[in-house]
Amino acid sequence: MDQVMESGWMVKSRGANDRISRLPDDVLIEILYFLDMKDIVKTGVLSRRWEHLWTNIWFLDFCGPSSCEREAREKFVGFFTDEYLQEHDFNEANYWNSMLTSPCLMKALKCVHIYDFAGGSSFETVLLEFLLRKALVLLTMLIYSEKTKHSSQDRPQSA
Amino acid sequence: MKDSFNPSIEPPKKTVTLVSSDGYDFEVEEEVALESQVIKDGFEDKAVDDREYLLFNVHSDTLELIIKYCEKHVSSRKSISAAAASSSSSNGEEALKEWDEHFISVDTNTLYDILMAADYLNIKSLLDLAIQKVADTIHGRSPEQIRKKFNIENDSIIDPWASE
Repeated sequence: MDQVMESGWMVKSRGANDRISRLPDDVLIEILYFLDMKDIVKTGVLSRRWEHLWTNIWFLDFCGPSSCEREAREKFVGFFTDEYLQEHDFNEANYWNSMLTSPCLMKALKCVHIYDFAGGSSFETVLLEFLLRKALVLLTMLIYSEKTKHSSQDRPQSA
Repeated sequence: MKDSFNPSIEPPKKTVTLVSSDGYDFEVEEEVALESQVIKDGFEDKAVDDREYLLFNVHSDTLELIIKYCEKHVSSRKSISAAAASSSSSNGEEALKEWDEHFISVDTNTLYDILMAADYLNIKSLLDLAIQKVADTIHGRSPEQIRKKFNIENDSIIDPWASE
């Protein structure tokens, strides 16, 4: 009995220190907008509170010169293919699958920017197909070619 | 008395009273209080002698910080526009950015308090500043490191319906 009480108390006290998870949804979602793609999706594994939060965002930016973001972008598409399921830990693939096919995300996603678009590579094609088919309320998709310098003044090279 | 004949002397500043959740009164200049969009909305409808705001969600410790932030931003804006008007060079914006960075370098508890208060009072620039700080903490860290940093308990693997 004591042990149950004790562990119950410990769980409670740990939760009590977790003030960030008690912030309102709109503030947490606002935090996500300040993160890049990889960090955004990562927050989905933190806890149940965070699991579906990021699927409320309406803007995805597949961008940036950093390899981290490219990795996130490849994962985003890679999970659709069978090779991915074989090559990667099942749970991880499963996680990405459930996150990214979430109806919530697909009903919220309004704007996508894709940078460094080379054209022709298979994951880029899959990504485009996927977004065009599933993102029901997608309004804007800007695709920047590889040579385009990243800046807010850029105009899309192809669309 | 002599001062009243000097035309360059400004009239006495109008003030507003902000009352913290723990019952402390803070008298601040009107323009400082108006940094909060919530106070700004409907401010004109309020009688001049009834400009008292009960901030049920903001503790005095936090309110003191919020007021410090708003005062700094009001005064900086003035000196920046004064420098622009006289077309003299100024690094006011740079200096303010540095000041902001120093201001938001607080422990996580204080950061949440500021975040909550900025959200409640709707002070956009302060909210952005605090949110950027949280985002910086998340950026580049592994999920486990993030949990540790924010004391987040990983309850997602516990399934209450799992067989024993």
